[in-house]
Amino acid sequence: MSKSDLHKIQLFSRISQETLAILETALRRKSFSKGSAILWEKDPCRYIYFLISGEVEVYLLAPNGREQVLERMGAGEAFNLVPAFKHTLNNHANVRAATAVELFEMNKDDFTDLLERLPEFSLAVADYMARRLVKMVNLVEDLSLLSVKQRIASFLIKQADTPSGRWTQDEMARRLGTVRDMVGRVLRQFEDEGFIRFEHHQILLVDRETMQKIALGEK
Amino acid sequence: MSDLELPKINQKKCIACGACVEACPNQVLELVEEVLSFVRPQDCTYCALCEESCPQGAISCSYEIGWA
Repeated sequence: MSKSDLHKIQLFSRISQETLAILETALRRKSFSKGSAILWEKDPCRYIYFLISGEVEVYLLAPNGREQVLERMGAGEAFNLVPAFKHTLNNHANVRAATAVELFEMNKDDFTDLLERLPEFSLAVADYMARRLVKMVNLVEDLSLLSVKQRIASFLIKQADTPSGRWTQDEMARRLGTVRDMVGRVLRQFEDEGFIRFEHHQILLVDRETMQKIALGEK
Repeated sequence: MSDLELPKINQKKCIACGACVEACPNQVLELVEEVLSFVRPQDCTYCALCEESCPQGAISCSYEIGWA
C-alpha cells in the first residue's frame, strides 16, 4: 500500500507513523466505476470508507423518489463513520460513485477496535466528525431558512471559491433540495440580470458583492 | 466552433420524442434512424435548451463554476 495514498486521507494527516502503520493493516483498497452504488441506506454497516481519489455523492431518497443530495465528497474525505457508533448498525444514507473512485475500506469491527486501542486515532476521528457536523448544520440551515434563489446564489459562491468538479442543473437541484426546472429558471434570471455569464461549459460569477447580497436575501 | 464539449445524451433514457431537435436553435441534433445524434456538433453553443426541453432528463450539460 502506497504511503502517499494514506497521506491523502485528511483523517490520517496528523497521525504518527507508528499509529499509521497499525491502521494500514486494517485497510483494503477498492475501486468503483462512475455511477455504481457503494452503499445503501438501511443496509447493515459493515465498512468505513476513506476516499483516495474521485468523488462520491451521499444522498437520501424520499418515498416519492425525489433525491436529496446531502454532500458531494472528494479525495481525502471519509464516510459512513456515524453508523459505526450506533447500536442499530445500519447505514444512514446512500452513497454512489459520482466519478471513478478509489478508496480504502476498513471493516467496522476493526474500526471500533482501533478506536479503543489508539487514542490518537480516536481524537482524529472526533475532530473529523466535528467538522462534518458543522457542515451538516450549515446544510440544514440553508434548506430550512433560505429561498431557492438564495440557496443557488450561496452554492455558486461556494463552488466558485472552492470548486468541486462540474455540475449539471439536475445535480445542483438534488444538492439544493429543489427541481431542475427551478435551477434553470433562477440561472437564466441571474444571467438576464447580468449577475452571471454562461461561457460554454462555464458559469462565471460577475460580481461577488451582488451574489452575496442575493445569498443573504438582501437583493 | 466553440470547442468539442457537447451535452451528454443518455441513450437508455432517450425516447426519441424529438423535443430537443425542435428546441435546438442551431439544428445541431437530429434523430437518425430513431437515434438522437449530433449532426452539426460544430454549431453547438452549449445553450442547454436541449436539456431543458427533454421530458426524460436524458440530456445533461455540466458546468464548471468560477469567477469572471
